[in-house]
Order: sequence, then structure tokens, then C-alpha cells
Amino acid sequence: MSEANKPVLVGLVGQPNVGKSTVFNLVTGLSQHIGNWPGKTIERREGLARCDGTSLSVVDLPGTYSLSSDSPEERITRDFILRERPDVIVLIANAAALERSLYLLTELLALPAPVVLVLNMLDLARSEGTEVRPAALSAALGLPVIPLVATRAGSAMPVLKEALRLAREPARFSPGRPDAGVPHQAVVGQIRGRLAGYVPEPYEPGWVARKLLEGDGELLESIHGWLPEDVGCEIEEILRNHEGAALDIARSRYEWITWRVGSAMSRSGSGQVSRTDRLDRWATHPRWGILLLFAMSALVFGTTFGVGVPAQKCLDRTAVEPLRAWTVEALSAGPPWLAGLVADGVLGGAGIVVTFVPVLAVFFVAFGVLEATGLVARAAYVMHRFMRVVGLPGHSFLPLFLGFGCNVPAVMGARIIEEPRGRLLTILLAPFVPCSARLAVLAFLTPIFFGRAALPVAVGLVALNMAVLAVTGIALRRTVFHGHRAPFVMELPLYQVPSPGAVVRFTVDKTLTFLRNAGTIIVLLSVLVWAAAYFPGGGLEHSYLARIGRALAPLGSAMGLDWRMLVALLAGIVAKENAVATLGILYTSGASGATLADMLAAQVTPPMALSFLTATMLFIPCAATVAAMRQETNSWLWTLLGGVLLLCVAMAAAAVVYQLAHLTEGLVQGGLVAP
Amino acid sequence: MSHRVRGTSEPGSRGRGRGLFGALPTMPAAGSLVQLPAGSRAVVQRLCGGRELASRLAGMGLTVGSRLEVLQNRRRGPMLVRVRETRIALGRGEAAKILVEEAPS
Repeated sequence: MSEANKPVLVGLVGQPNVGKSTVFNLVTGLSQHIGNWPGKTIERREGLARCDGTSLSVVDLPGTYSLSSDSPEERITRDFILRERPDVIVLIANAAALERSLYLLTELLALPAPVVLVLNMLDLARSEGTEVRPAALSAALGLPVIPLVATRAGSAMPVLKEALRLAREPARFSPGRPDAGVPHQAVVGQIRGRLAGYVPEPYEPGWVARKLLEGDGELLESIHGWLPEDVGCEIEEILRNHEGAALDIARSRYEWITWRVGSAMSRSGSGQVSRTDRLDRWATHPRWGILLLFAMSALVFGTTFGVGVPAQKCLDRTAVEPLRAWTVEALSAGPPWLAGLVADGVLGGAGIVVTFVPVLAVFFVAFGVLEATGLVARAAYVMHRFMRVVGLPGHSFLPLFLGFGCNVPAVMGARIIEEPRGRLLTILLAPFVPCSARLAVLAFLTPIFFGRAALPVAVGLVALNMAVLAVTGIALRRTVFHGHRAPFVMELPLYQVPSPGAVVRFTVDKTLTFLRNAGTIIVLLSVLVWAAAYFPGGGLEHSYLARIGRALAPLGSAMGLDWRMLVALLAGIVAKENAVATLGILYTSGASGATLADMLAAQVTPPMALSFLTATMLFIPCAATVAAMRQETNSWLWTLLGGVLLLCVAMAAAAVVYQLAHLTEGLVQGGLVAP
Repeated sequence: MSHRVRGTSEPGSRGRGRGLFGALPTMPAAGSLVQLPAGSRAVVQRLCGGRELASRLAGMGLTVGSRLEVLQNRRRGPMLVRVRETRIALGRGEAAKILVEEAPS
């Protein structure tokens, strides 16, 4: 009882798609803290639970199939166990794919922590014709096994009780040791003998030796720091002579599992077509699957914008606008810049943040449901061969498609992509998808500029965006992202009915995380752009922003853009609607009574208009997208590079479009107007 | 070469329907997984894709000696197999590196 104050540390481990986060929510309830693992873009979720008067600190480790060092998820999990020394590990296994789920157990048992096995999805296993007997499994494995139907609001108490019991009496933990039967024991012994005395805490020489034999890249690098050069070379020599050992070790683990599990599991009615097989006939079909995917995307899209956008407008009308009006009035006695700063700068930014909430919330509900059912994995499967062409993984289709609504969920949705490079590439390319805000600007400006030709021009510009996305994707994959591509190997999980609690949880977590991370960035950017447009003169025309615009004018001339258009583009960084507002101020000033439409039609030639619209469509979409990019890459450098990429591509495309349009115009006029 | 020879001295069974390890070096019996049509069943004989691929596959249940069933294999795009109650999608390049021997169902 001397450590009564220190909570028992529990690590929650499991392969992907085994219902681990549902178990985590069940165990920790509302007391959760979400952060990132140090230096990683992977979420670290931690929560408190109480059992028999003792508090338990539960860490939800990232889902991982095994414990090699190939992915950050795998490294995080094993480093946590080795360095933070949890008192007990709770391993969640999917009863419907028991043997595979236990592969992780064979790896965990080689690490210094007692393990409680939670058998999840027993009902699903039964519907697939597999019956698992927890008591028999417990006897066979030599460790506690707790059955659980996590989708039902059953109590998590037995899991906590068992974890606590094992944490208090670790000596009771005496499971079967799969590694005792691993082949190549003699070789492991040789390596271990050479490592002895050199391996620092918290590593154990036997474990390191076995992992080296499995070809563990991270440890292979580490040992060179630990060992004298000659010993390191000897070990490398041994490893070179046993390159195929990893395959034997993996096989022997499954042999161990099959042998142990056999008595605890029975399969009935094999040959009967399961629900998943029936649904997969449609969902993974190259034609029907894609059709289903489009229907699915349309549904997410429809709900997000059918429910989210009206809610957004309503929020804007009832909360944000009155608040701004009230602030202007309340601050009218002070200096005019103060009212402007608060109402336009701060509240303008905060308004964007607040009005994003409904759109994001609805989007995350829809997305959470699709992911929990297993449909997102099918979407990735059927789209893989198409997305591959532009250098993206199949998983990137759904987030990118949703980018047509809003780029923020597109960037945030990229986290379903497991492969880090594919995820980063998707985040960088997502802003090229024309979002609804830009489509609105397009819909407003094209009739002014092009009259009856507005529709073909607008369609052409959207097509241009898609072409630019594809070309940039291919170009980046061939240059910056060149080289090693992670193998395309993906599990298609069993179909499941999503649990409402988990979806609500997911939505609230994701929306709050965005508000917290993005809120500051959006408000700061809004204030910055407001200040640049206000100071020093108190009006946009003589502001710093205007000066920047005038200074950039020579650069703009290549794209046919005058300084006012450049300023509008810069103002549009906060939100695309601002671009139109800025044009309104700059083009109508001094001409009283004239509308923006009149002035634009009079002063802007078609090539100029095309160039401006191209730049608007391809440039940084809005402050919120920038904030989302920052959150998802967890790096200012990548966010900056993403912004520079958008800037360069937008400028280049605008210049090409302008020059071509100019040339064409000249030819057409030359042909038509010539006397 | 060395690990094949060593393999012969190991205890344990390498799947049913295949008795002699000595037959392993004569490769023609094993074909690539990409060649198998949907509905066929096979036993994995070798993984040639390097350590990272093998390690990923092992975590999902696919190792040398495991039995699999091809659920989907069209001429283009990834293929779908079932192994140890798990449905795994594999790129064609990855599947080409998995050598299997057809086994009667």
C-alpha cells in the first residue's frame, strides 16, 4: 500500500479493427486526455478509471498488427512498454479472427509486462460461425481472459478488476512462452552472447537478439552505438547468414497459437456465406463498389452541407453578427481602430472558427459511421488502382472527394491513410480540390466577367483544378516523395453496426481538437490580415496590404493581375469570401453609385479575369485549412511548404492561363475585327 | 541457400498434403499468388518481398505455411484473399512476391 497514491499504469494494446477505442471509452468514461505522442502525428489518449478504490491510468496505444519497428505505431507501442513500464497490459483480441489477433500476444509476452486478454466481438465471431470458449482459452494460454461485447453497454469492471489483480501480484503471471519454441535458438544464443554486457536499460539482450534475427531496422541501428565495432560486425555477419530466419519465427508463432487455441475454439457451418462475404460482393466489385462509393460520398456530402451549412448560416446570423454589431457600438467611443480590430480582426476570425463547428461535426458523424461499419476500407480497396496513377493511396479518395465541400475535413480525413508519405501527400494536395467557398466565389464572379459563357468557364476552371491536382501529385511522387513506397497490404474488416456512443465520442473529440488547435491560428491570421489592410492609413487603399500589392505589381503583370487583384488574393487567405469583399472596396472606391459588377465588367479584360479566377481557385483556400494542415502534419515546416507549393502552382497556372488567353484573344480579335 | 537446408532439419509440419521438405528447392510446383483465380485455395510456400512486407503480412496472419483462399482477383487492381479469418487486400506487386502451391479445397 506504499504506492497507493500512484495510479496503476495500464497500457491498452490491440490490432486495428478490434474495437479497442470502444473498450477504452468504456473503461475511462469521460475522463480522457488527448494529445500527441512526442514528435509524432499520432494521437495519445489517456484516461483515468477507478476500481476497488484504486485509480488506474489507462493509455490507449496506437493500433498495430505486430511489434516490429517498421511503423511509428509499432515503435510507440513497444517503446511505451519498455520505457514507461506499465504495470499491466490489456490486449484486446477480435474473437472473429482470434489466431491473427493473438500474433500480437506472442510478441507482447516477450516484453516485461503481465497481460490480460480481452476477448471482444464474440457475437460477431458467432455470426461468422466461430465459437470461442474464454475459460478454455485462459487455461491454454496461461493468462486471464475476459469476454466482452464492447458494442453493448456492458460493464468494463471485470477487465479493470483483473488488470488490478495482475498489477498487484505480477508473480501470479506465468503464461506459456511462445519464444521458447522459436526456431534458431542456437543463433539467438550466439547473438545474445555477443550482446551481453553492452545492451543498455531498458532492453533485454535475449529480446534484442531475437528482434535482430527478425531483421528489426531500429535495433540494428542502435546496436552500432552500443557495441564495439568488431562485435557489431560479427553480429551483422551472423544476421547475414540467417536472413530467412524472420519467416521461420513468424511461422513458429502461429504454430504456437494454433496449438494453444485449438482446444478453445470450434468452427461450425464453414462453407456458409457470411454477412461480410455477401456485402463484399457488392462493395468490392470494381463497378458496383465504385457506384456505392459515390453514393456514400454523396451521402456524407449531402448531410454535411444539407445540415451543416444551414446551421452555419444560422449561427452566423444569430450569434456572430449581433456580437460584432454590439462590439462596434460598445467601442464606438474609443479609437476607430479598436472597434475594427475587435469586430473585424478578432471576431471575424472567431466567427470563422465558430461557424466551422456545425459543418465539421456533421461531417465527422457521417465519416465516423462509415469508418466504423468497415466501408471506408472498401472504398480504399476499389479506388486504389485509380489513385495509384496520381501517386496517392486508395484511402485518399474519400477525404479528397469531401474536399469539394470543405478542405478542412479533407485535410483532417487524411489521417485514415496509414502510410505516412501518402498521408502527407494527400494533405498537401487537398487544397487543390475546389471547396464550396471557392465555388461560390466562382459562381459570383464568372457571370460578371463572362456573361453567358460563365458556365463553361466555371466548369473549365474546376477541371483545371483537378488536372493540377493530378499533375502535382505525379510530380511530387516522382521528386520529393520519390523512392520507397510502403507495400499495399490492407485488412478489410468484418462489417459491423457502429455504436452510437463511439461515433458521438469521435465527433466531439475531433471537433474540439480542431477548435483548440486551429482557433488560435485562424484568429491570429485574421487579425494579421485585418491589421495589414487597416494600418497605417485607416483605409484599405493606403494600407500596408495595398503597398504590398503595389510592390508585387511587376510580378502580377506576368499574370495580368493589377495590384488590386493581388491584394484581393492576399485578403482571401483568411477566407475566400474576403477576396470578393476586397475587390468590392478597391474597384468601387471613388466611383460613387457604381456597383462592383459594373466596375469589374468595365475594367477587367477576359484574360485578366481568367487569370484572377485561376489564381483564386488554386491559392491557399483559407486560414482554417492552413490550421488543419498544421494540426495534421504537426509541423510548421510542412505547413509552410504546403503554402509555398500552393502559391507557386497558383502563380504559374495563372501566368500560363493569362498568356494563352491573351494570345487567343489577340488571334480572335485579329480574325474577327480586322477590316 | 543456407536457410533452406536448415529448414529440412526443423521439427514441425509444413501444412497438410505436402510431406517432403526436400521437394521445396524444386520450385516449379509453387506459382505466384497473382496467377490464382478467385475461389482457389493454396498454401503459402515462400515470401520474396523482403522483410518489411513479410513482417506486415505476418501481423495480418499470412506466413509461410498458412492456407489462403483467393476471394477476388481481377486482371487489374489489388486482389483480395482470406487467411486465418482475415480478409487482406494486396497490391498486385505485393501478391506477385507471394509464392503459393494450390491445394484442393
